[in-house]
Amino acid sequence: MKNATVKKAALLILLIMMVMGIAYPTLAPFQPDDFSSPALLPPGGKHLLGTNKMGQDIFSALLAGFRVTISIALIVSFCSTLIGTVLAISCAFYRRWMDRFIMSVTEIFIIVPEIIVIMLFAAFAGPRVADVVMVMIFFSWSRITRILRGKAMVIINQDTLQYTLLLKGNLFDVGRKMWPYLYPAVATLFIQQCGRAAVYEATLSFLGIGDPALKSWGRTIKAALDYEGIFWGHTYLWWLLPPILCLILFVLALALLTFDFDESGERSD
Amino acid sequence: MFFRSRPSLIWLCTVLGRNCMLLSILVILGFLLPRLIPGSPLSFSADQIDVLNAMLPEETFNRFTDYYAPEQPLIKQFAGYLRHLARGDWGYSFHYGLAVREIVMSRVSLTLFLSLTSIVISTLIAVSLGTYLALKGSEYLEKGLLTLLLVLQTIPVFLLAILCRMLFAHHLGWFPAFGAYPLGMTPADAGFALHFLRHAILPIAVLILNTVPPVAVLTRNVVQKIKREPYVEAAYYFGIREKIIWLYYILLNSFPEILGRLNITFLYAIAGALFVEIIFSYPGMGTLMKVAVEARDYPLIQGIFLVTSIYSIAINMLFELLSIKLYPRLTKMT
Repeated sequence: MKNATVKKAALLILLIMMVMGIAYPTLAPFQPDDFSSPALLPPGGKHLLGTNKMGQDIFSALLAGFRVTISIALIVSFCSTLIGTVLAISCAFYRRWMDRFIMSVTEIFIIVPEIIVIMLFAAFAGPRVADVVMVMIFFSWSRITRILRGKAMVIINQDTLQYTLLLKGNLFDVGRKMWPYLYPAVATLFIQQCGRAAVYEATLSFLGIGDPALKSWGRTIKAALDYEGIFWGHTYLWWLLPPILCLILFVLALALLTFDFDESGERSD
Repeated sequence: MFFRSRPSLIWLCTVLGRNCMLLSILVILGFLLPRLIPGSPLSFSADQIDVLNAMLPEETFNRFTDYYAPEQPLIKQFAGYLRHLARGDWGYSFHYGLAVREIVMSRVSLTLFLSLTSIVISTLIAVSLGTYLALKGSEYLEKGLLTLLLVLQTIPVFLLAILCRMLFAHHLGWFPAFGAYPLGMTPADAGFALHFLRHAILPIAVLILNTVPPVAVLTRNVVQKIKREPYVEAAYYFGIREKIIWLYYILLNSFPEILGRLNITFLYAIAGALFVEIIFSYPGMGTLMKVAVEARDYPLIQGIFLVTSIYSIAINMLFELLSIKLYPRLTKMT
């Protein structure tokens, strides 16, 4: 397998998924919360993947998931990457107590897994999507900060940066000069963070945290698992399996995009 | 002797001190955040408290106000929080109406069983697999296995658990689908141990599948790096037997670095155990957490957060101490 081929394939998958997310209202045969059809239909006819317990079209819910899950992933990833980058540059710029303070905060999140913290505080927050997204953003910048800080500490020794510091440049100036060197790492981390955010969202939905009316893949998985008869007969094949596969495909495509087959392939939590 | 033990004593103190500091930050976080996040009952103002009063049974509500004393200033609340913690009083669960500590403690052992068993087994598998890949694996085998490991490690653990339950418990019917033992069975019954093991196989297997990839890849990378060290190449020139080189020159020298990074993976294995329990309805802390979250049982949620933090910090400390014990020279390097 060639490195470039894999990346192109991953990019293509992601593009298709994003287009489906954008075009979902025209693609979906039904409104995802329209419950006028008979309940628990098997696939076939008008319902490509059958209907759920409430008589809603599963295929439409799956399509809605493209939009909901991907946009949540993008928002959370963008904001937490932004926070992480700013904090990392601050670490390199202010050094001393600022650096030590930010680093000791990130250390907490290495020791107590992020998802546990996110889950517990999302449970305390209100059930609106915005609240849950805020909690996810607030608790997921630590990894980005840690990795970028290491890079920023090296980059700041470059001549251009030292010159900026000599001219008494402020945090913003230093950040702007640092950006071209920092950019590749930021881009990689942003992509990885998208995958993480999608998984966090699915995990929270699966636990029943957040807006119950949201049509994300995680919610569809939860709805399927909440139905008592899901593992009897073959209902799980068209209700539970498709959202799981979509989620895995999305996360996997993101991982392949940043994965270097010639290098190690280590997970850096 | 004296000189050799002194630096490690100082090191011991810094390790203990740092972990204590982390624990105290977590305790403060556990106090502060529920009061800051909008929508939680602890951030309610006086008139919103009445809503809570209407929502909860009278006795539970009284216990809640007794325990948290939301009408007092924040400093006093914090003092009360610390006093309760010191006494081991974690409040009363809304949902169960019992003391949080008792409920949590009755569930901890099964979670410990799942996570520790899977940690031990997956370390053995992952370290041997990683070493094998680095030392003997052909290029194709290595690439194929690495891709497989990558795919496995990107699948979130709860989805992996659902997929495994679908395939092995329902489709093939090889293992029981849920619980830790058959309903209505007690440990006194004959054959309990066998049933218990059969129920544990699938959750543990999922946890192993989730923990092996990162550790195996890590081991492979470390071993591959050490393989190229000059002293290993020198050993080859001297004609030392290959097995001895592998064991004493490469593997033993890889352990400090593997050990230093292993604890992070294990901390994630704890979180994994909680989610796997939920899928298999395994009656440990994970299922308790799900009930607590669904019932918005805030005291119980906070109790689970505390226990998980303590467990994580204990594991972290154990690893730091272990690596000092095994490799005293590490203390002199940093």
